[in-house]
Amino acid sequence: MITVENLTKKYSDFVALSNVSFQLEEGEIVGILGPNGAGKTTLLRILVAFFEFDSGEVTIDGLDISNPLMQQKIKSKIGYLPEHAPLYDDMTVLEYLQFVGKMQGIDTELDEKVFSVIAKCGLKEKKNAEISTLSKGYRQRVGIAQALIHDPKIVILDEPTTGLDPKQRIEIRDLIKEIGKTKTVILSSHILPEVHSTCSRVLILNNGKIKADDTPEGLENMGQADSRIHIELDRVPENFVSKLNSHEMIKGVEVSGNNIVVITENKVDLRQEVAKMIIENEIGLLELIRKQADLEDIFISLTKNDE
Amino acid sequence: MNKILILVKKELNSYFNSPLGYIVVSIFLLITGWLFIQGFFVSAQASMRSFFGLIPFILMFILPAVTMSSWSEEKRSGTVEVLMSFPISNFQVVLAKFLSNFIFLGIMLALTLAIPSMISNLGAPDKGIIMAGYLGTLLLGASYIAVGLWVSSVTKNQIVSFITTVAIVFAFYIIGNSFILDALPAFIGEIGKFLSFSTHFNSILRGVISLSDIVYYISIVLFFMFLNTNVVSSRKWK
Repeated sequence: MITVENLTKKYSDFVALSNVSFQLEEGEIVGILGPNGAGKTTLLRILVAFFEFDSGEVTIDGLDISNPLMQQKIKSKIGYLPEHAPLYDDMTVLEYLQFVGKMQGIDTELDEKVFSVIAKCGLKEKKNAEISTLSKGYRQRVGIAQALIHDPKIVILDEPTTGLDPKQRIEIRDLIKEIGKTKTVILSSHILPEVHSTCSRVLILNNGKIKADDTPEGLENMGQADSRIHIELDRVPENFVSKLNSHEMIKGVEVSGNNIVVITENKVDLRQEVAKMIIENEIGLLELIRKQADLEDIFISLTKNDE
Repeated sequence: MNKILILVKKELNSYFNSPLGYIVVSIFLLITGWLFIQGFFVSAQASMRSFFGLIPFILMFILPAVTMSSWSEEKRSGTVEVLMSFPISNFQVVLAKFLSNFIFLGIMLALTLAIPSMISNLGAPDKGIIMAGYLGTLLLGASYIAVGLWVSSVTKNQIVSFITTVAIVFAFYIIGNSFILDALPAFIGEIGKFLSFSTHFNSILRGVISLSDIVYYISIVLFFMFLNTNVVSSRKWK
């Protein structure tokens, strides 16, 4: 559906994207994840033919995006919601969607199509409201409705949930999942749980390079981060801490009051062994729990130490 | 073509959905009407000479106020990104913006037709001269609009856009003034005279509609629309 090969984009001296390559298949929901300034928006703007690029190849549904003659054809295959959901504030929701529909070249059954996206995006009550009066959540919905009106094969959403409250975020997330049943969806985000619960695939972007490309589960098993055992004891004798420290599988021990955190490699499980040591030392065990590195830890470990 | 018309309609609606359109039209009619009537009964001539003498300077401030937001507001709010995601070429969008502003100018000028109809009742004005005056005003206004839209595409700031447009349009107007031309070497003076908005406008005002004047204004409009399209295509407005 979308093929990106060795894509490089520079802003004068600053390299925004360097040698980015990936392929997306039909029906995938792909999350592009990265800290602010990682190149997410630049990448999406290139995919919608808004930005040109310096080198590499991008094809959308078999069409070369750098060919100006193909761009209009490509644009009609894509629905795009830019960052912050920019809209014409002086129009009502209905007027705006009718305008977008006409601009996308819908000439038959425009009203049916407008009302169908209004229903799909939960905008029925607000259809006659002026856009300037809408809340952030509703603006985002209008932006998504705008991206869906011409029934595109590909939907590209730049930070669709930024600035929303948790309830709105869940609603938009469900809407995206619904859209993903029939279309290829690419969304960018810097919120991890977001991507985890919505996407079938995650690309992690940092400083213009792809750091990881996997399913959310696959990423969690990457093992680049640590696994931690959190223990609460009735007392923490000195010699017990040094015994833990001398264990060859343990990377580090953090003590604060009666709480100890034992750090190991991500795939290592030392719970039984640590429990045995506690009992052998006749210390009262109050709690013992292992926390594997989640997406957040993986993300941090992938995007740090990288200049 | 159809998409250009849809965009033109949307642009015009946005002028008249907001107070801006009505304020601009009212101020224009008030100023032109007042300045014209003031001298009209004193001179007691059934002519619109003073009206067309003032209009280049009134439009010099009115039209930049209309064009200043055309691109800068789209860029500031980010809607330009949505606009450019539609299957429409950059030039088509530039053309649509030009046409909507030109139609707005047409509406403003149509509302001043009360003046010639009043004069016709009071005396016998030369209708040919008046018609030439309106044609000249439309052509001159079209050039102001083309400059204003280009400037608006270069900046995100509406105030900067307004002031820069007024300055450029003013410069283009006065380079044909004899006061300026006399100070320049003859060769450069000829170029200035040829490039000036005022030379061609005054020649049309005399009732002589020559092809070269019309071609001049159309070339100016196309040149600034070309610059406008280039700025929009380059997307270098960060």
